[in-house]
Amino acid sequence: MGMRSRVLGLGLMVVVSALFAGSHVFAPDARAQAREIKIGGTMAVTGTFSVEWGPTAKNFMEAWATMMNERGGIFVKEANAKLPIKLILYDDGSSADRAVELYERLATTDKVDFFTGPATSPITIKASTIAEKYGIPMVTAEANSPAIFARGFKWLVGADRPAPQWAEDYYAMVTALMDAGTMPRLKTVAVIQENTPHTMDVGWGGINRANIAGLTVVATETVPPSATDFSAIIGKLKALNPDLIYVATWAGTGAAFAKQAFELGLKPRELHIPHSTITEKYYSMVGATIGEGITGTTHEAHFRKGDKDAYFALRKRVGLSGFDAGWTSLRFIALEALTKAIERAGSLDRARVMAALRDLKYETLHGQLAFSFGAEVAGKKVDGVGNKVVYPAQWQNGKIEVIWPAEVATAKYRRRQ
Amino acid sequence: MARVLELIVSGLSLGGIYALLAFAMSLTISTTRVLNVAHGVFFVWGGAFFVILSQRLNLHPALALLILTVLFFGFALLFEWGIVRSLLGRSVHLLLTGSIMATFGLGLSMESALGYSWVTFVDPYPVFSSSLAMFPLTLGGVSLSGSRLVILAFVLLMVSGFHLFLHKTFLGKGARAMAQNFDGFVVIGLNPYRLSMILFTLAIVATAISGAFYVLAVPLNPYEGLPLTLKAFTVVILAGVGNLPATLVAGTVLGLAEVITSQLLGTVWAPAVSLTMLFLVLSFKPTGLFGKGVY
Repeated sequence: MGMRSRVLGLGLMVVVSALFAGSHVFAPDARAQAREIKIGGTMAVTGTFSVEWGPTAKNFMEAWATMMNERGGIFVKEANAKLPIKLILYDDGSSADRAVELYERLATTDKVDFFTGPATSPITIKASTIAEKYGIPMVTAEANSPAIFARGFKWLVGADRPAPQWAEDYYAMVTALMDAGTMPRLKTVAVIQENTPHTMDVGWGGINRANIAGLTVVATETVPPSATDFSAIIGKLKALNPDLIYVATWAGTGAAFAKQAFELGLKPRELHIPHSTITEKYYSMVGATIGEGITGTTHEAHFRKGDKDAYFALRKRVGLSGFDAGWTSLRFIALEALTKAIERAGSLDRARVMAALRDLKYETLHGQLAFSFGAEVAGKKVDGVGNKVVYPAQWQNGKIEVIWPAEVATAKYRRRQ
Repeated sequence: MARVLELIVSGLSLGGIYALLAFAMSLTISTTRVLNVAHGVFFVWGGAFFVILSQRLNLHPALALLILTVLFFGFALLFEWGIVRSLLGRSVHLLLTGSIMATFGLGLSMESALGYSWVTFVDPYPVFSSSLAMFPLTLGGVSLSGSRLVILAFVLLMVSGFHLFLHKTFLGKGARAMAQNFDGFVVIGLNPYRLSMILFTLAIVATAISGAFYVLAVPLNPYEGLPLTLKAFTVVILAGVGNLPATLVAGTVLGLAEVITSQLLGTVWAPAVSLTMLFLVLSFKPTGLFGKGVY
């Protein structure tokens, strides 16, 4: 090869390299040029958790995206425009492993800008590892197990208050009602907990916060996930005869327990199944004879703060009435928090949006929302946990009624027959 | 005492169902040498179809059971024609391994088909449970679950029916002869294919109806079939293949052992009971606790 050819070859290489490098140097940042904001997530449309979430959850979130786009989208200062939202939601079938696969797909194939969390703690505890792996901010709604937030993750925040605290509100109500003579004086409690994240944490609260109501824990029973036969436990509880049975399980498992307790003649003075009042489907699963008077927890109330008009319009749009689908306020707050963070960051840059989330404080449906970092919950140091309030509720005449606190209550507590 | 009685009823109803499942399986293994791994899946399908018929279509439970019987009669014929028939007549080794592989694949397919169809067409929540709540029967301070008593009555009825079938009918006597000596059965000119068809039909229909009764007390999900097959298999091994009285005893022992384990050690340990029993029997007395018997 002659000198001339070498010089020509070298020159060609330099030109090609310069063009290649130039394409990066001079190309505008793809995100700054984005004409839409991609938010992705999975939902338990089918499977075990569909009793509480199901297709309604997907419809609600899609209706939220439609509503936001009807408003023009989210204002992004860097683009000097309101950008529309493209929401990508997949059904994870209530499987944490499937959710991990789908979040990987959302990150790599769909190339979403941000994640919205899946339903429940058992799914989120695995799915959130993808957010951490790719550095994509994830705002979870219902996930509230301290174990999720005690791993030092940098890209995760959750709207709900930690699960162990659910019991505090309930026991505070029990104390007040007993003092007022509305509820019979309870002395003993038995706690049943389903062996999954969240339900174990709710159970932890049921055990470790019983002292708030001056109750003595006489039994603690842990059952496998989706347990179906409770006859042995019910036999044991009948012998102990606790005043209160605190059933920290998912709605489907709680329905099986309530039905078998009735059929085996176990009648505690107070039956508290936190997940029983999150979905109206629970009542149809157990029937009126068993369902009436069971107390639970709900995230819903007749909110008077925040963007309540948009929230209630959304519920109406997807055909929700009363306090059915008790997670909608959490979903709304989680998506709203992400929206506010994007607006405040003025950019789709993930690090800037995450920083905005960490500092976010604004008035939402239940009051001021703020994410706590370095807080201690149930003996764990947690980061990114929210403060969404939950409300004790009860099944009365086939309807979910909020019974506590007085300012949001829609009915008074009734003794179980 | 009341607590002990309640536990015994729970254990007996659960064990009775295990015994029924196991007996239907034992009947087909001892006569045709076909091990139907999909056996428990038919049980789950029975529960699912009963819930669809009685709750989704609001049919009277008796009518639902009748339709269920006809439906599973058809499924059983298809099963026998599609899988069992092609295996019969081969060596015992080929028959066993072939039937395990074929029915394992069938069981997995049936589970997936049910799980998918249920969440797509019936309900996103894939659990079959009866919303029919029965009041407890209270006798002298002892509260017995109404649904479990119904299950217990059903088990007694089915066991009596099986006993009469095997001892008082020509077909039943034929089944016993086939179990005792397959070659002799063929040599004297009897048709093993026709009898195998009848026995499989009987076993599958009885299993599906058992599933329908089971969901009255305990919910089922689409993926419980294969673990239930394992429980039935444990009972068959405990009892020894082809031993009806022993199958009843072994089923009851397993049911009671699970209930007592839940009571003493906690519910999380109950699923380990059947596997531990299976391991112990296979290790120390592989012919079963009660030896071989032919009904």
